[in-house]
Amino acid sequence: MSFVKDIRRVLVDGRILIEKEWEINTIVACLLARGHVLIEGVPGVAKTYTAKSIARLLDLDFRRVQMTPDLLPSDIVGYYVFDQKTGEFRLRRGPIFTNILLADEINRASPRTQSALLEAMQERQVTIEGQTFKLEEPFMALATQNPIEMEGVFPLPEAQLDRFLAKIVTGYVSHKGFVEMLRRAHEIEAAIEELKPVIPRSALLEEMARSTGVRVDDSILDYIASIVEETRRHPAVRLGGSPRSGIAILKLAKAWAYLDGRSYAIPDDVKAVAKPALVHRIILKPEYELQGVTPERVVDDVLTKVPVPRP
Amino acid sequence: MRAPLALLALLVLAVSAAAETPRHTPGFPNVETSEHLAELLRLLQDPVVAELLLRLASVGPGSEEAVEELVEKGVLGPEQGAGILRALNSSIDDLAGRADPALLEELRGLLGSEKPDPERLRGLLSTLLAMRESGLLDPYTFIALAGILSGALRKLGFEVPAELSHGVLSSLSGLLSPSTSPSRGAEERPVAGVGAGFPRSPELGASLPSVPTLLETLYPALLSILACSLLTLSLVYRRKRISGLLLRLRASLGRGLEPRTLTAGDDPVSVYWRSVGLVERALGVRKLDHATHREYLSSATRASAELGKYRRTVECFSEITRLYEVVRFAGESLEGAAVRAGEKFREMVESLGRP
Repeated sequence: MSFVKDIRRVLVDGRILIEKEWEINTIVACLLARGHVLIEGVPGVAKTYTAKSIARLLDLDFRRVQMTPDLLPSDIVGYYVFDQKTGEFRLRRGPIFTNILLADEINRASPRTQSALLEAMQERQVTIEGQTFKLEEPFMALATQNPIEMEGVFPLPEAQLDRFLAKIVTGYVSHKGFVEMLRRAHEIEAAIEELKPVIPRSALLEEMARSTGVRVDDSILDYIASIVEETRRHPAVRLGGSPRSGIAILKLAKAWAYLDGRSYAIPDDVKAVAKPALVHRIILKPEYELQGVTPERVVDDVLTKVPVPRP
Repeated sequence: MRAPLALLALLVLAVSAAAETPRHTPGFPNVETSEHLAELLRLLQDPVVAELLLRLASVGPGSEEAVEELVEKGVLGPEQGAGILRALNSSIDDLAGRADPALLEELRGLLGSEKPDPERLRGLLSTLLAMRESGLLDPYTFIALAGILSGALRKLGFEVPAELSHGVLSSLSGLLSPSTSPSRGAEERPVAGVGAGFPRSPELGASLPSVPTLLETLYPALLSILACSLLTLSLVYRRKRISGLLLRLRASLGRGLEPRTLTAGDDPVSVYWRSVGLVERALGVRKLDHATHREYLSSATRASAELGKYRRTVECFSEITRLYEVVRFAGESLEGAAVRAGEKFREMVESLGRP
């Protein structure tokens, strides 16, 4: 588990990403759990830097796609072009053939392109002209969306949101962090470019396989189920957590425990990942939404209602 | 000396009986309940029995005769009487294996010195009382140790502290004759063999409100005064200071209200829940149902830092929490975990005696 410590040491202690430790942990946990992440945040809060830095440190290939309304599914997955020299069709692979794909402003793409991307994320393979290509492991999509954008966007349908293992809501840094960032502004970009891998890809794949072996006691499973069920019973909720959300909590809790250097999960892991695993899967009743209730608050409330396993 | 002692004991017992709170942690047999204390309180209304019990509680000369008379009157069963007599005649060596060796060593060392340090004596007394409250010492062993300690104190010219007598009285409440126990219908039965030739106490009891009832009536008024005082204080001081004050208040109120019984050789899971009970009472921090073991440890650490004491207690609790986590969630039966948890629990109890 030393690679996680190394990532923290380089990015957090090295002040390359300021006040982003929780985001880094959650992204790495998602990677271990073979999931995808939706990052919600206003422009300029280091979403791209975070994704790029992690990819570099993990010796992974990184691609970024700026989603726009005129982007076609083939622009992401790839297409065949006719090669006049050879007289044959040649595959031009899209940016999805990578390890970490940053789909910037995913809600700007048309529903058709969104669903093509999400399908590829789910299946971990793409089909071009009837031919299926498996995506290389590890594969993780980091999609970002701007919470205040209202026009010219196509909000992701609930069914597609459910495919993201976690949603990270990232925001501005504190004043002190901001000053520190300004002080280092001229060197951060160069520092990211100079990052050296802390773990070879093959070793990372081994770690991913090992993290699935984290022991989860039956009482923890019961605790997860109770949390998900409680979201459905909450008075402010129109649609609560799905069974898939329970599986997402379980996967993330195991990865979280593994990141902490443990071979077993504890209720604290479940609490730590409940919010990123649930917030995008909960739909509030409009009357509560208008009063300013957020899914984050609902999850907090649920966590203070569901008793932890006893004895 | 006896009258104020009796009054003090009555008052303490009444408050203990009235202030019993339903904070029973699973895994703890709730042996010394308010019912036992109420029964003892009822017995103390009889002047003869009260005299005998207080003589016994002072664990001084005449204690053995008091036991015999209490057995004769049916207040104590013959078995319990014999047990107490054996305890009163025990020496430190007789208690080897029944009490913590470190405690016995400390007692021996203190008694061996010609001029014992009063601070050390006070510390020993606190440890003894804390161990009794936690259930690490059974009533007979506690009475035996109290007898040895009070005998030595008298020899050195010290007075026997009231807390020790209170501890003996509380221990006695769990040893009352089964026939007088409220669960066996003591309410319907007058106190067996008590007060022959004396006016029966119920007449007196019927004419005056009992102490707990009186306190219950006074509680709303006392609570109102407390609330007003706190409101005033909160206006004067900052909220943080008030929370610290409340923490101290809760800690001091919570201590010693719920004695519990322990059995040796328990697994770290049950030891953990027992230690939660001790931490709750010592630091006044309740473990909420939704709080994880790590969250509770953080709360306890914060509370200890705010109170500025019980650092050692929290250190021991931290180790017990670690063992609990591994055994409970990793499914591992750590070699020696039970022994280690038990050791830490004992250390914790000792540290409660010396915050």
